[in-house]
Amino acid sequence: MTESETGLVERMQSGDLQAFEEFFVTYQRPVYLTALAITRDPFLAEEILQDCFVKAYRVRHRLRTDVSPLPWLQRVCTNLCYSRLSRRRAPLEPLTDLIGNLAPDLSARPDEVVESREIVDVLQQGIDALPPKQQTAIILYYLHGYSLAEAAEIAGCQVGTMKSRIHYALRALRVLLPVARRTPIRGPRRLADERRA
Amino acid sequence: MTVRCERIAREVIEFFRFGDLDARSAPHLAHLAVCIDCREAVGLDRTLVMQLQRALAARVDGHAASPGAWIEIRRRALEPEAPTLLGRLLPVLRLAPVGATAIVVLALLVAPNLNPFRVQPHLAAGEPTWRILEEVEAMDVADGVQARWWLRYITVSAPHTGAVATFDRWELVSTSALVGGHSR
Repeated sequence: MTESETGLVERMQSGDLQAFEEFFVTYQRPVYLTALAITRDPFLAEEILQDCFVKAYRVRHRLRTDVSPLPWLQRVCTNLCYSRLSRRRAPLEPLTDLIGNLAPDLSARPDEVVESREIVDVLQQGIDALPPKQQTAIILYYLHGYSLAEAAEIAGCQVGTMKSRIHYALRALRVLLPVARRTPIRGPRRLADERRA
Repeated sequence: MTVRCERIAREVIEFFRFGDLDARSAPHLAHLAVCIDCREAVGLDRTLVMQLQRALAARVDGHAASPGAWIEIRRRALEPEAPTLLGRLLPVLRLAPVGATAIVVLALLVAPNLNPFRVQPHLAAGEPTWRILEEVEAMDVADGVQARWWLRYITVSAPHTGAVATFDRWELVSTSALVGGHSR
């Protein structure tokens, strides 16, 4: 944590509104992006952003000054997101249905399909269908680019658990790829064999 | 794909995913250089991760919090905090012990028989079959004789069996019912 971050929280704790504004400017973007990535709704994401920072101000005296407040903000944000989504989200299409819907496109030319817009769209739905913990894991790791340790701190779990969540998330999403691309088609083969052929 | 290939591919994929490529990865990378299947497996995982990153980026690209967000946050942060459900219930909960005590006291007054600490009156062995504990009010005064009383008295359920009092109660008792008994 930088000195300016420490000072910012301390000033905020003393009731300095200017410091609170700096605090908001410093951390609002990653928090907003997390909310938007989870909810996919800009209006809801902004409401969550507001709730998150209002809460931060109200509990400012409990904020630690020896560590960055960002993991705490991100944790509050993800909790708020899933709490709000659980109240309003319609039942998601199971992954198996997504695969079925995609099958005709995927059977044609896998290499092109993998790169296609449809794959990204299906992945979006696949991400939505992931359990919240796995979803949070891939958003923190692949969208924000946090390290495993940072992502684990935000999610409040061990690094190994974070690895495991990412692994299971990717495994679930991998199922969405064309069948022919999920595993190598041929048996063991080496370059030398190919050259010989 | 052989078992060895599967293991190598899985390990290399993990190396790539979590940025763990180091000297330990050299044999894996050497294998990758000559094994097309493992390269395909790793390539597929890389493709998936790239597509995933594209999908995640597409969710947030071009979006930002509105300029009015800070104003709204400032306004909400400064306004008095609405009491939570617990905060609203707290004053009521503070009075709960007082209320509970009042209810218990009231219950004991109304129904003294519920009082577990009350000493039960009893008839001794030599006593007759009933004894007046308390006289409240005489009624039905006829020819100067009090014919009926509101009494609290004890009696025995089986007069001939002995001296154990079984109950006491308030009752409008006729004088004739108390013939032979003792008053206080």
